[in-house]
Amino acid sequence: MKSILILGVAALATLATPAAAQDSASVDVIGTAEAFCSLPSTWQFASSTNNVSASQFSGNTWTIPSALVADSAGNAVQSTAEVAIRVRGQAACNTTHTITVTSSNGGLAHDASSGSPPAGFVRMRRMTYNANWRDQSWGVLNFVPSAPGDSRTYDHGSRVPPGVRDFDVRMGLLRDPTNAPMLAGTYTDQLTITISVAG
Amino acid sequence: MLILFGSDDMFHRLKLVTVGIAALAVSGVAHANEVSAEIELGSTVIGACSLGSPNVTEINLGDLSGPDGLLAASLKVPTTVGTAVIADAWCNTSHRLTIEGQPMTLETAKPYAQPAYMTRHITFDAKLVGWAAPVGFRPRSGSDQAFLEWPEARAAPAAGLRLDISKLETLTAARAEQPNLMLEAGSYRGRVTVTLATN
Repeated sequence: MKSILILGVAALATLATPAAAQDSASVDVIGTAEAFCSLPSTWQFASSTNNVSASQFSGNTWTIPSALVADSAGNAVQSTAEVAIRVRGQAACNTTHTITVTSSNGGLAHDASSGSPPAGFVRMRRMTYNANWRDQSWGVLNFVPSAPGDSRTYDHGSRVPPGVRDFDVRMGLLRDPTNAPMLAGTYTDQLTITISVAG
Repeated sequence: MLILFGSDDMFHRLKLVTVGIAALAVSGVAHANEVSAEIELGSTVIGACSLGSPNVTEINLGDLSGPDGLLAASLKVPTTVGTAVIADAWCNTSHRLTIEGQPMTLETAKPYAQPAYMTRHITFDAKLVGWAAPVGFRPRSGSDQAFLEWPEARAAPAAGLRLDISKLETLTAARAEQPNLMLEAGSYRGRVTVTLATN
């Protein structure tokens, strides 16, 4: 009988052993914020030099008045006064990224003469481009392409991400001295801005 | 005969007492028709609490950001977006159930302070269901908690204690809730710890 009682107590002691006065369990809550950047699909006029007006920008096209490029005699306008416009749109980025600007023509180029330009004429005017987050001193600045397909890339590196912020593109026509008349016709360039997040 | 449960030490003492009683019984045979003796046994079950392992150690909410880089609207709703179950939860005496933890926090260290327009911390509703009453809290600073005092023993129902996560919101660097903060890219991790402790 004494043995039975002793066994009974031992059994109770076994049941009580695993528990303690306190016990805890933890669960982690996890998730991921994907790297994300966006650019505006449309742009609005923001500012310009005195000789450029807002009405010259429509859709995604800046139409430069011919008088700012060449005079009535067909000679290129030569001036140190830049012809420039700044357009703006809301964009966003939550991580490190690169900004790349690519010029399809390498400047303002005469469309019809790209294959076999006649000698003795000017068919190209240099352009200068900026692409940067608004009020930031970094980005692609003063990019002057010299050949079709030229591009420049700025690496944002470990700077603070811009978040939701305006993105500015500034386009300027450089009116360098020339020694030949300009070919008549339409001059164009197409600017492509690309933001890439780090892989 | 009163029978209580006792410790080993106590039984050593009881053994001596029992032997003494038996000797009295033998010597009393010639003098009485009926004899009796009482044996008292005593013991104590220590107050204890126990929590089993959660069915998951991580509640993975996946991609936290929406198409605009902000916290996904689907995660901000009061509806449960993630669940874990902790089985085998019980306390055999009066106790306290505590839930505490840290908000979801960007795991990657950055070389700059958290920008005012972005977030690295996300709070959420963490609610325990299955005890005497639901217990919930929103982790912000890391020292937040909620608890429930209960005056008697209690065990969770068969399914166990259920931890529900819902209603996520972004936090400023000062850990104040502020919607429409862009999430910095990367992995986020928070933690909820459940503790049962005797009083």
